[in-house]
Order: sequence, then C-alpha cells, then structure tokens
Amino acid sequence: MNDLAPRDDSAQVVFDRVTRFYGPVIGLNEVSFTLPPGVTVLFGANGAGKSTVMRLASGQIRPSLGRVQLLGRDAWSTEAKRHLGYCPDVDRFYEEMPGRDFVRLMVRLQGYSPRQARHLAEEALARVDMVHRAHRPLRTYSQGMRQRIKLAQALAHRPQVLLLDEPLAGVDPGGRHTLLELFAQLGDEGRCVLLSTHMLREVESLARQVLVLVQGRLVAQGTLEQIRQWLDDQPLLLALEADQQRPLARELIGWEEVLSVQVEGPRVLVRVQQAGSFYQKLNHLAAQAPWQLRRLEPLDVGADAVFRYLNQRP
Amino acid sequence: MIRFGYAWTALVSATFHRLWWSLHSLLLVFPAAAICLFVLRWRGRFPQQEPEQIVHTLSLFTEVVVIYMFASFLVPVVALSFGTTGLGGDREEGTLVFLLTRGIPRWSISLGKLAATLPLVVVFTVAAYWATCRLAGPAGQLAWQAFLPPLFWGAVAYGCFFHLLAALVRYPTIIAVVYALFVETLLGNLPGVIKQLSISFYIRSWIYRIGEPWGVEPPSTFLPISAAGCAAVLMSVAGASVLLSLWVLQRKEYIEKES
Amino acid sequence: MPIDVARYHGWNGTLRGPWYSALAVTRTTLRQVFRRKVLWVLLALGLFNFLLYFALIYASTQLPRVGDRLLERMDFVVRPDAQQRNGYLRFVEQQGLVVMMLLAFAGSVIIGADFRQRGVAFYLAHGLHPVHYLWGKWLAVAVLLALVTALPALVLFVEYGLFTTDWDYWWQNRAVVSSVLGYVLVMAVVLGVLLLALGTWLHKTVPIAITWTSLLVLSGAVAGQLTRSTGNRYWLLLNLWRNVRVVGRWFFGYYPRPEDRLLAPWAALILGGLTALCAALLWWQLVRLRRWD
Repeated sequence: MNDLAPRDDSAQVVFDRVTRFYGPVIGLNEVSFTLPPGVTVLFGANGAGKSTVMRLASGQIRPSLGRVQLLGRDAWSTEAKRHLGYCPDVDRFYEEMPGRDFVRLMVRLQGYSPRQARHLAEEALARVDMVHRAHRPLRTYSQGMRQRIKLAQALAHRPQVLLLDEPLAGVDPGGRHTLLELFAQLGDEGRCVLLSTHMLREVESLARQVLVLVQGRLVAQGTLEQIRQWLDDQPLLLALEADQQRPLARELIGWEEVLSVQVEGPRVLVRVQQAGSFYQKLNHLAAQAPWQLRRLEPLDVGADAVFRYLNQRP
Repeated sequence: MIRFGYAWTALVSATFHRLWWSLHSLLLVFPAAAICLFVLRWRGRFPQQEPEQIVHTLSLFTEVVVIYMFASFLVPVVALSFGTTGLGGDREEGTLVFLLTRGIPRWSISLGKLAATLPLVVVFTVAAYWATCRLAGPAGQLAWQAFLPPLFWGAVAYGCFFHLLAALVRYPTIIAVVYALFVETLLGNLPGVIKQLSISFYIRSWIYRIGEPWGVEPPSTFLPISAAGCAAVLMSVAGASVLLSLWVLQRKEYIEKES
Repeated sequence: MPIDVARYHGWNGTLRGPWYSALAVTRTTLRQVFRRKVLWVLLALGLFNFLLYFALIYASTQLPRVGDRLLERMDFVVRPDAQQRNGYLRFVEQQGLVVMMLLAFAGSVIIGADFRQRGVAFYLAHGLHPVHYLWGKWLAVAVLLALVTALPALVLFVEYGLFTTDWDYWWQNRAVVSSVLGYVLVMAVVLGVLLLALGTWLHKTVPIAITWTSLLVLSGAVAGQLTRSTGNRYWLLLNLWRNVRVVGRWFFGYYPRPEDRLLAPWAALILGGLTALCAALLWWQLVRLRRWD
C-alpha cells in the first residue's frame, strides 16, 4: 500500500494492521490507516471490504488480527459507541414507526432524556430536510426518504465520528446535492466522517482523503491529487494479446508512456506510466492498425483498480 | 448511570410498545378465547353444588384445561410468540444493527428486551388463566389459587428459554416452533426419563403434585417429580437462560445481511 | 455502440406458457426452504420413521415367525383383515405430524417473505399472473408434502413387493398407489391452500405458527374434550387435522373406527368450506396484487 497521508496526531479512527476472516474467507487483509477530522471517502468495488471496514469501525465485529480504535478506545466498547453515529447500508427499519419516533428512539438509546431527544431529533430531521415528512410510518417512505431518516438517526446525537455506508443510495439528484453539502458541513465542524460510496465523482470535492480498497487490501490512501500523482508515477503492468505480437511491440516501444515491452509467447507484456494517456493512444492504435487486438489484461490488479475508480471505467 | 437509565428505559418501553401492538397479541386472543368458550360450554356438564362435585370438576378441569390446554399449548405458544420476537424480531428484520451501534452495553440490550417481553408473556398467560378460571365456577376459583405458581413459573421459564434461542440463532422463531412442536410435544409425552428434557414435564409434574389431594392423577408412565424439584428446575432454566443470553449478546458478533 | 456489438439479441426460442413458467416459482421456493437447516432436521425425523417401517417390512417378509407377530396388528395390503390396520395409511398419518411441523415453519419462507419484502413484484414482472404465482407456490407445498409422505410410502410399497416371493403383490395391491396419492392430494389441497392464505395475510413465522397450531392442535384438544364430556361425536368435526385424516382415509376405503365413516361427508364439507374460505382470502390478496402488476 502507498501510505501518502501524513501521520495525524488527531486521528479519530485507527486501523492498525487489521485482518478479518469470515471463516476461510479473508474479508480484510492487514489494513492500516488513520482517519483525521473531516470527510474521508472509502472507495472500492463490491466485495472489496468496505462493509467489513464499516462493521469493524462501528464495533459490530472484531478484527481477527490487529486493532481498531475510535477516539482512543476499542471500537467494540460501549464508550467508543457513545461518540459514534452509524448509517448502515441495510434498508431495515421498525416499519410501523413514524420516522420522527424512530430518530427520537435512536437518540434516547444514546442516553438522552426524552426532552433532549426530542430537541436533537428535530434538529437532525431539519438537517436532512425531513421535518415535514417525518410523521408518516417508515413503511410508506420512498428509498430516498428512508436514506435521510437513516442519516438523521446517525447524526442526531452529534457524534464525533460518523460512519456512513452508501448514504447516497436511492437519493434523487437534488437530494444528493443537499446531503453532500451536509457532509461537507459535518466535516467542517471538525467531525470525522467516513463515507463509503461507489460514486467518487460526486464526493471527490469534499473528500479530505480517499481510501481505496481492492480485494480486502488498502491499495491507496491520500488526497485525490496525491493518488493521481502516485498512479502516474506507478508503472502499470499490462498483458496484451494480438494476432501479430511483434508489430504491436514495435509500435508500443516508441511511446513515451511505455517503460518496457516484452514478447512472451502469445502475449506482449507492457510496463506503462500515465496509464490514462496510454489507454487513449492504444484505442486509436487498435482502431487503425491492420492487426487485431484480442485481449488487454492488467496484471497489477491494485493499481489498475485505482485507475479504473478514478476514471470511472467499468 | 443516568444516561444508561434513560437508554435502557427507552429500549424497554419501545420494545414493549411494539410487541403489545403487534399482530401476535391480537392473534393470541383467539386461542385464549377458544379455551374460554370451551370452558363455558364444558362447565354446564358438571354441576358444582356439592363439595364432592366441586372436587370432581376440579380434577377434570385440571386434567383438561390446566394441563392439556394451558401447560401443553397456550403457555408455550404465548412464550414463543413474545419470547422469540423481542430480540429475535430485530435479528430477523435486520434492525439489531441500530441497537448494537448505540452507546449502551450489549448485555443490557438483551436484558432490556427480556424486561419488555417477559411481562407480556406472564400477563397474557395469567390473564387468560384468570378468565378461564372465573368462567369455570367454584372449581375454577380453587384451580386459580392452586395452579397459578406452576403456570407462572412455566411461562417465565419458557419466555427466558425462547429469549436465549433468539440470542443464539438467526431465525429463532423457526427453531422455537420446531422445539415447541417436536421436543415439547413428542419428547414430553414419551415414557421414561427422556421427557425430563422438556420444560412442560416440570410444569405438569408440579400441577400433578398440587392436584394430588383432589384426585388428579398422572398417567402411570408419567412419574412426576416433587413440586419443590419442579420449581427449582423451572427457576434454574429461567435463570440460566437469562445469564446465558446476556453472555451471548455481549460476546457474539451479529452480521446482518439483506436476506 | 450498435446493440449487435454489445451482443444483445432477442430470444429466438419458443416461450412456454405461464403455467409452465410457474415451475420456476416452485423451484425457487423449494430452494429457499431447503436452505434452512431445520427442514433437514424434520426430514431426518420423517426418514427415521421411514426406516422403522422399512425394517418392519423387511422383518415381516424375511423372518416368518417375527413377521407373523408384527403383522397381527398391521398389514401392507389394500384391505387388511378385521382388527388390522393398513400399514401404508398408518405410515402416511404418522408422517402427517412431520408435515404439520414442517408447514408451520415453512409458511413464512414459502410465501410470507415474498409479501413482507415485496419480492412478489419480481415474479409478477415476468409475465406471470398472480394465479400462476400462487399455482407455483402451491406446487412447492405439494412437493414438500409428497416428499415426506407419498414418496416414502411408495418406496415402502415397492420394498414390500420386492421382498415377498409373490410378484403379483404390486398388481393385486395397485390401489395402494392411488390411495396414497389421493390421501396426499387431500392434504396438499387443504393444507396447501390454508398455508398460502395464512402466509399471504400474516407474512411472519410467529403469527402463522400461532394460527396454524391453534387451528390444527388446539382445535383437536377442544374437540376431543367436548366429545368426551358430551358424548356427542359431531364435536369431533371441530378437529381440522382429524377431518383431513377422515377424508383422506376415504381413498383407502377403510375406516378403523366406525364413527369415521359417519363423519366423513361432514368432514369433507367442512374442509371444502375452509378451503373455499381460504381461496376467497387468497383471491382478495390477488386483487391487491394486481394493483402492483
């Protein structure tokens, strides 16, 4: 993993060499990072380990190896959870309960008096723009409204650490804009917000740092600029298959993005820098060349994944 | 401490409220009403003017209503309905995550859920039993005083046991249904000592012991144990289940999935 | 990009009708039920009883002296002698207890969850009318029932024929097959429709189990006690489970207790009424479903 982020003494969430097994399956593989105040985006494909990170940080599960701490306390402990607001990705509620009652109950479960809970719940509902719709039972809500109620219950007791698992799922574009402003606000207030999402483009403007997970490993950490710079500097190994390898290799060796070319059986192994520029050129070449490019396979999975995420390539 | 008190009270009252207004509560009225209607129809067949007639009726009432309908059917069904859904409902519906990420000790969630469900189990059982005894006439009055302790402790033991199941397994209601229908019904009626594995054996044993003076006799293969022994077992089952459920919830990881 | 390049193309084969498509509903439902470990426990319980009968048939056919004693109370022919009971009927009725438990827990999995979590919309989005959906679900119940009752009973029938030296056994007692299937069909129709109705209205395991046990267990206790205290055998008709057994026995043409023959038409009437009521409740839900369609 490239550890670009400077060590922060004000770290509010600490993952220290955390490994988590689910039976024989490894969900998270020796992951270390620290989260300072502000918004951090957790990024990765399905099955990359985002939910495992969220579950570990919210103290639902314990690490098999390593330690997870929230504000200096073990994430599993009750003390840590007093300062935690968690918005889970599962769409489950007490369906018969009105949204307002649900948020109030969640605040009361943090130990606030009914009067305080009422006040805090109203404040949170106002922040997610649900004050006038919170009287209806949750089962009657749209996906976006349910998402807002989940957010409201997470931030109502003004926690220092907020873990938001896919908080924008199902929210309409207008609502997204409002919520993104809210996340930025929460970060500016000095709260530590960890936000997991698939849509980096939407949240990149507010991300103080980005964590990229690939197959249970943390492959990149830092600001987007740092990661992009790292990616440009990072040689990426690609395997290309064409019906004529040698003309392809001859063509590629002249490109400034290409560091080395090696013909290996039916494949041409290419080590490249500035992958974006390389892909663009390769597209043009494949369209014009007399030979046919059959297959392109990145051999460096981590770097390729980061590249794909940053460029929103499927 | 005050914060914990607020949180715990909120948990208990919310759980109680949800269960009280649930479909289970409504549905449980039907079997209870069916038993009451049965007693109304049945009591007409047995005059209760003379003391001997009352004793005879009491003996029959114990056999038919107290043992057959309450101890073997209504008490486990009521306990199953509330006992498994207090905590188990949250597990099955995937809402437990909201509780486990709050700033209250995990064991207190289990205790809070139990504190909400157990009164419902007991109140429902006792209320149904009281109504049935009132309808049964003088024999019912005697039965009310005599057999309330075994039914009460039976309800508590079942309630706590099903609560433990809810802490242990993902789909506690399914396991509890199979337990109530298979272990309690089948094993509980087998000859020999194997029936001592079922909770209903101790409730019935206790009832038979109390009913001895009125001629309430168990089947020859039943072999009841002493009333004190039954009370001790039922209380132990309840106590052990509570402690185990607290320990399990404190330690166990609950990974909720969309199912 | 042209759509051809993306390799999207229409289906060129012949599509089958929705009644056939409903089999996919059945298959999916069965898969969901079989994922539950409890089901395997219940199946093991049924298997245990099956093995007992298997051993009984083996002993009665292979060990003459033991067999004579075993067959004094029970026989495996279409019409046993007086005082004897039909072994197949007895086996199917005992398996009925497993069926009762199995359906009590399976109601929520089979259909309740579809309504609770709106999964039914996925089925109805694929050209299935709600009737076809319910047909698929009913078939799943019927398959489960057959798996626990009819299939092992028929295996026992094959076993008996194999172990006796008289190969005509199967032909002479061929009515056993239709009797077993008839009995199981009665169970499947009555219990299946009842379970579907309960599942569509109550959704969750606990409410379904409360209603199911009240209807099938408590009604039996109440009916038995009322009959005993009043001497009026018509009270037995309150016992729904018994009614299923009485009507099912009609296929065997064999009633061990004489009052059953008397009560059989009434039992059939009650079951018919109950099934019609459940069908009406299902129809009501269908109307609501069509709004989602």
